[in-house]
Amino acid sequence: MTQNYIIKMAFRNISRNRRRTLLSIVAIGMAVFFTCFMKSYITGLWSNVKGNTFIFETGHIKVLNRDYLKEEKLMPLDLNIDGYGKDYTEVIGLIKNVKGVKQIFPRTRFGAIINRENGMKNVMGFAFAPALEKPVNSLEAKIVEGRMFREYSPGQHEMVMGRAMAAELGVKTGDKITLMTKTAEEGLGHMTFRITGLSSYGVAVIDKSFFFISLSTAARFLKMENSVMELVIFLDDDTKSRAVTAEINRILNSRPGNPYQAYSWEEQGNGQYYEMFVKMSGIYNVIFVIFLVLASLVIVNTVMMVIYERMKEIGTIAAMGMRGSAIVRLFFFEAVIVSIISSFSGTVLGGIVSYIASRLGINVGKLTGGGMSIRFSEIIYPYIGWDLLLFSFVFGVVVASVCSYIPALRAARIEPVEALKGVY
Amino acid sequence: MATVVCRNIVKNYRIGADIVRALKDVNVSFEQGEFSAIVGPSGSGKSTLLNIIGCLDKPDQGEVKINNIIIKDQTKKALADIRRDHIGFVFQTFNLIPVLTAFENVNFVLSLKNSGSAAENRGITMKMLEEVGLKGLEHRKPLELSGGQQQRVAIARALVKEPALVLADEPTANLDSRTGESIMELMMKLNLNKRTTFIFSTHDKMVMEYARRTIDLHDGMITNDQRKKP
Repeated sequence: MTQNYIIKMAFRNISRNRRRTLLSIVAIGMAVFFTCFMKSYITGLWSNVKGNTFIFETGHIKVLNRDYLKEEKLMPLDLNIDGYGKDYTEVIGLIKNVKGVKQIFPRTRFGAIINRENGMKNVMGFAFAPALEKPVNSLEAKIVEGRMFREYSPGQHEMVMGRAMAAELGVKTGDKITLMTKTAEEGLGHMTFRITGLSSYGVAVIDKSFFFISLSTAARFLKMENSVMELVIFLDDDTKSRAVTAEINRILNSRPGNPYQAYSWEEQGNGQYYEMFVKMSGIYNVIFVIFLVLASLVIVNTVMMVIYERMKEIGTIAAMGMRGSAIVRLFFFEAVIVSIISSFSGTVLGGIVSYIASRLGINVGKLTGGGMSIRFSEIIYPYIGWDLLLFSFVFGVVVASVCSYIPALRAARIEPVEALKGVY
Repeated sequence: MATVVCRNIVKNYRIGADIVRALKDVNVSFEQGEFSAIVGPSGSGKSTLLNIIGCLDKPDQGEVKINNIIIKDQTKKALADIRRDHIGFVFQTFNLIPVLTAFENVNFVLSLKNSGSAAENRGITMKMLEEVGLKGLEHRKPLELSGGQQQRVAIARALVKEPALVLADEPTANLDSRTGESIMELMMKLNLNKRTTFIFSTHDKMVMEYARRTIDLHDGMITNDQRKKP
C-alpha cells in the first residue's frame, strides 16, 4: 500500500512545482541532447576519418610487391604487381574467393610533376577502375564540374582533377595539361591530358594534389602494361583484417617465387594508421567521459535542489514512520519519471538535429580555416541511427536515475529532527 | 502504566565554539491518558524534549522508554517503526503533504503500518475525518483548507493509527484564538474517548488552561510539575 502512495506522490510532485520540474526536464534534456549530438558527431567524424583512410590509403588489406615497401618513398613503379607471367588479374584470381573478401580494386598511385611558369608542382596520380570502385569510392559523385573521364578515349587522354588543384594551377574543365613522371622503365615520361571534370572530396589533401585517370591511361603513361601498383581489398568486416591477411599470404606464398605480400591496414605505414585510430579513439572517449561527468553533475544538482526544497516534508514523512528505504524510493521514482520525460525530449531533439546535420553536413573546414592536412573531410556528416537514439535515451534514464539515487540516499540519511527544521 | 518515561535526560547542542545545554538532567513520566502541557519561554528546551520523546532526536545522556520500549541503541529503522506504531505528531505548521488530499494525508499513515485491507483503512480514515469534523472536505488538498481545517487533518493523521502517544508542538500557534480553542476542545475530546496520551508544548495560556498537567521548563530544567485536581 505504501508503494501506491509513493507512486502517487511521485507523479503529483512532478506537476507540483511546474517551473522547477520544467527546469529539471530542460537540464536533463539538454544533457541528453548534447550527448546524442556529440555521439552522432563523433561517430560521423570517426567514420569519416576511418573511411577516408581506408579508401585512399590502406583499404582493409593491401597487396603489394614485397620489395616496394623498402623504397616506398621513391614510389618505384617497377616494383609492381604483374601476376605470375600474364598480368595482375592472376593475383586477383587467387585471392578473390578468400572468405571475408568483398571487393578487390587494382590501383596505381604515382607521383608526377606539372611544369608551371613559376616553378614545378608535385601532384599525385590516382589510376583506378571507376566502375569497379563505384560502391566504395564513387569519383563520379564527387565531380562538381564537367564529367567523368572515359576509360578508353582513343586519340586523347582524359583526367579528372581536384578542384582546389585546378584553382591553384589556374586551369578549368576542357583545358589541356602536360604531366611528367618517371616511368616503370626508369625513363622520363610525359603525357598531355584533357581535364574533363573537377572533383571535390572535401578532403584538403586530395582536392589540392590528386588527379584521377583510368588504369589503361596510366598503363600507357607509366609504361606498365598488364600491371598495377597495388591491389586494395575491402572486407565484409574490417575487424577481421589480420586473419584474412594471414590467409591471403598463405595462398600467395603457396606459389613458388611469389613476390607479393598482403598487409592489413593495422600494419601498414609501420602501424601509424592503427596508432592514429587508437589515439583518436582515446581522445574522443576522454571528451565523451568528461561530457558524461558534466551531464551527471547537472542531474545530481537538479535532484539535490528538489530534496532541499522538500526538506521539511522529508522530516514529516520520517516522523510519520516512513523508513529510509521508502524515502529513497519516493525520490528515486520521481527522478526516474522526470528522467524518462527528459531523456525522451532530449533524444527527440538530439535525433532531429543530428538527422538534419547528417543530411546537410557540418563544414569543419570553415571552422578550422580549411588547413587540415590529415584525412579529415571538410564537411563532416554526423551519424544518425536507431542505435544512437536508443543509446541516448537509455543513457539519460540510467545516468539520471543513478545520479538521483545518490542524493535520494542522502535524503534518507538526514535526521528527521534536522529535516523538520529544514536546516540540513 | 507509564506511556513515556524519561530518566536523567541531558541534551547539548554545539553552536560554533559554544555548547548550549538544552536539557539538564530531566526526569519526567507520562501515564496513559494524560493530557499534559510542557510550558516555558522560547529556548527553554520544550521542543528538544518533545523531539527526544518522539524518537526524532537522541539524548546525549539518559534513557527514554515509550510503551516500555527502551529507545537508546535502537537502529534508525527500528526508531521509524516505533514512531509509526506508537507515536502521532501534530506540528505547529501542520506539515501536511501538499500533494495529497485530506483523505490521503490521513490514509497514508495507515498504509505505512500496512495493517488492514485497503477497504478497511478507507473506512477507518473516513470515520476519523468525520470525528474531527471534516466530513465532506476529504477530497480537498491542504491549500484548499483553512488553517484550522489543516490542523484537524493533522490531528486525524496523528490519531488514525491509534497511537499510545500524541506529541503536539505548539499546535495552536498558527491559529486564531477561536480556532485554537476548537482544536484544543477536539484534542481533549479524543483524549477522553481514546485514552491516548497527549503531550503538547506551548506558551499559550489558553492551551495551558486545557491541560490537566502542566510542566514548567526553564533553561532545560523542570521547575514545576503540577496536576489539576479532577
